[in-house]
Amino acid sequence: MRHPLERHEPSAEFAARLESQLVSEVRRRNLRAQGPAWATWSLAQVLTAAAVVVLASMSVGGAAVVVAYEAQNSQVRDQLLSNVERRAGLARMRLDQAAKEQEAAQRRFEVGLEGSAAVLEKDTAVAGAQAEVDLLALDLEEIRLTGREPRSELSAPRVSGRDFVGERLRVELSVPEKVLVVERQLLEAIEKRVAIGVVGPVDLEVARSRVFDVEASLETIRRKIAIREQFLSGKIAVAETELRVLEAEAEQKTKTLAPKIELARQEVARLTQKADVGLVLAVDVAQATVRRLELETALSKAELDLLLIRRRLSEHREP
Amino acid sequence: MRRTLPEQDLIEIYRETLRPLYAFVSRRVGGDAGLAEDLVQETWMRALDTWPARGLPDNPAAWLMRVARNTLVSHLRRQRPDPIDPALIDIEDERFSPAASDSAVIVGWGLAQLRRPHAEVLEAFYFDGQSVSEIAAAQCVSERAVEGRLHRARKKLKKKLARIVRRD
Repeated sequence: MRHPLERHEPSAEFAARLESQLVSEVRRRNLRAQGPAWATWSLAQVLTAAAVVVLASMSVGGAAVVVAYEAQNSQVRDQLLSNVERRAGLARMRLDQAAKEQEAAQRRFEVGLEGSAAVLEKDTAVAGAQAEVDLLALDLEEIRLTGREPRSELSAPRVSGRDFVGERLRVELSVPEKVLVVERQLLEAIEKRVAIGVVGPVDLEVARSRVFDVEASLETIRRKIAIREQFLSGKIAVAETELRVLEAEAEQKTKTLAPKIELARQEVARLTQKADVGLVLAVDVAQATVRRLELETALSKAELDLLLIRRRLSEHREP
Repeated sequence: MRRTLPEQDLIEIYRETLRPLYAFVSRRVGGDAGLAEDLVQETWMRALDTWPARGLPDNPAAWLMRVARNTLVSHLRRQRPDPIDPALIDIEDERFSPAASDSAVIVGWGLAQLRRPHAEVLEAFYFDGQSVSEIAAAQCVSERAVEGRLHRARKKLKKKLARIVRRD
């Protein structure tokens, strides 16, 4: 029982748990904002990581039965369930909020107070929130069946006949599918505005680049679903499965960097013209050039990584 | 444009604001620790969603409390409290205080139905324990004006709470 004066004080346990959750969440988000972690690794690190994933998957596969029994410990399962249930409750709150905001935006749009872009943005937020709710529901079902943390690697086995990894990928697919519809509509709107001269061609290129990014992301998820199906049907082994995932992600990276580099080149040319007539400073041109060089370096690195992953794949197929 | 969030800055803000934020929420839910923890956690998740795109706010504590309040109002608007004994919620009695979790939730539910200016003055009075002169100073109005607002807000709240008063 708490002392009355401490009623409105957070418990030390809660303070520590939330701090730890925030730290891991901010790290995860920062990593996502910077791109896939392996994209910044050296060649040796990529290969080592691939090897570690392969070895870990093999050892986990071998020990899965033993671990499953050990992890049936009800205390562990209850803790996991309680944690995910709490997150699921919050996700449902977020979904309710997103749905309300979407309805409000729709009403404002219908009376002319809001543009269609705002409604489309809210539609996407609802799709994202719905996907989060669905993913957490799958996590809960998997924990109830296994008593341990849900597994997300494509070489994870089925759980009681259910393919949770595949189901999660299909839920994840729903978000970029929705985003793609939105981005295509925005692109169409920008094309019309460019045609009547309200916005410049740079905005059009940016919008095209966004559509391309989402298309590449969709394609990668679809490839992962196909890889997962091949793994489950026994056509490919654990090691090849994980290497193919790396290959799909590396290809996405190289594809999406190319249009960004083209945009960066156009930006340098545009700024150089402006600098020539004194409309921008030389430092602006230098910054845009550095940005272009960074993207070109990232592309070279991604291409090299892709080459090495493919070499590993061919070595694996022809031992 | 989405940017990364400096981890160290975030932790410093978290440590500085956790106690006032928790107390702010806890007082509004009558010390219900489970609900207070969920709301604080949700508030921080919203901060992580928003700050990378918009940058750190000038006054993070004020931002967090505003978001926590909005989240709580959304939560309370979805609830329909059980009918209550009118003797327990006599908001016109000067000694009344929504300190217990039951009465805090009912008062909170009623405040969530009010317009923001009315709700805020009552929240400051009931939940933050501010005196009339403190509220007047914070809102840059006279004490007389605050008394008037409190009177009108109480009447509105009483009207809302009448919907859930048990009639024996």
